[in-house]
Amino acid sequence: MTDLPIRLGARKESTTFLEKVKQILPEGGNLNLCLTCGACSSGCPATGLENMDPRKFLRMAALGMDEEIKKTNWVWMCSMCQRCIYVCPMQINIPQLVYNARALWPRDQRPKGILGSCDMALRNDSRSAMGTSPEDFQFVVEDVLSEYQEAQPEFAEMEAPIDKEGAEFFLNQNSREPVTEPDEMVPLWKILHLAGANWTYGSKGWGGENYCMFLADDDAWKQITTTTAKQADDLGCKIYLNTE
Amino acid sequence: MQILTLDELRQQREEALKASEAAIRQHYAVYLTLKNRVARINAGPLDVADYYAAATGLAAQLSQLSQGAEVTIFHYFAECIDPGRKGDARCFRMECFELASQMRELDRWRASRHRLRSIK
Repeated sequence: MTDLPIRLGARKESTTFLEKVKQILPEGGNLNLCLTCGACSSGCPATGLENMDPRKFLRMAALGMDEEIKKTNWVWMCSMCQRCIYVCPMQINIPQLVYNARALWPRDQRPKGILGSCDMALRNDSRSAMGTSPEDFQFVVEDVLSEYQEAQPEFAEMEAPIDKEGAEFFLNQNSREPVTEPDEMVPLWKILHLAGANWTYGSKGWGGENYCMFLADDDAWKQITTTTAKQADDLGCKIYLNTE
Repeated sequence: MQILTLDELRQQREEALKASEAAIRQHYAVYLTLKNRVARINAGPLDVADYYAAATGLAAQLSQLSQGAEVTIFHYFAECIDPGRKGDARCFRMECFELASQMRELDRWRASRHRLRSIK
């Protein structure tokens, strides 16, 4: 058997990835303005993972190394925190580049955890990545609320309404909390109560997390966002409070 | 995390270019060999069996050019290409392209500082 040598790829004639990304960004997303100073890498929590960092990633794109861009697992390690933009003297939008690199992956080959959470959210009206139904959410909210109303008399009048028409604020909620840490919902209720805010959850689209965004699945991302925005509109809420 | 202004970064870049030019003057033959070596690597595929020798060879020349107190453009690459430090086979190609592009910029900057022009 002949062992074929592994070769470190040679430069391609032309690039398409960076050009494509620039086409969809306002003013090309500044992607050509990199000074190669490395400020982006200095603050990035994903620097060093997979021996990659934002500077290297951007330079790979700028140097036309599309195949390497498509292959690196590092794009899934970026948390999209946008620190790189914050520290970049040219305000280069590297997370957008990462997002587009994620979208190059076949959907079924994207990380299982993110993929599963996105698909789960698409399967229920709550848009909960945990798969929590609107009925279960309502049960937990009412149960926790009554417990606190009883245990803390100063909050006896506190409310945690669901589908309250005409409320000023529409609040969403990370769906992990009602499932695993229900008490974690209460501090925000207390703040809203003490501030005298007129607010509500929606029975539909209350799940605040959106794994479809992290999955770089535009259609699914839109579907999740549309559900929650429509619920806020249907209830006549003026302001959408995004807790995520 | 220190956030530098654009002016500070430009100043740092200018200082790195000046220090690099001084390093080139001191080790001109090394610089020429380095440029040729990088061009050869970038021109075609590199067998992974040859990676270590190629990377250590480049790193040694880059280290020579980055000797001295002042930071040159070669410091970063000496560290990122050397397999004994941060060097990695998967990033080797990118680092070499990047090094070539930085050296092109450096040569352009050096040429822009002189009034002599080549005339056909």
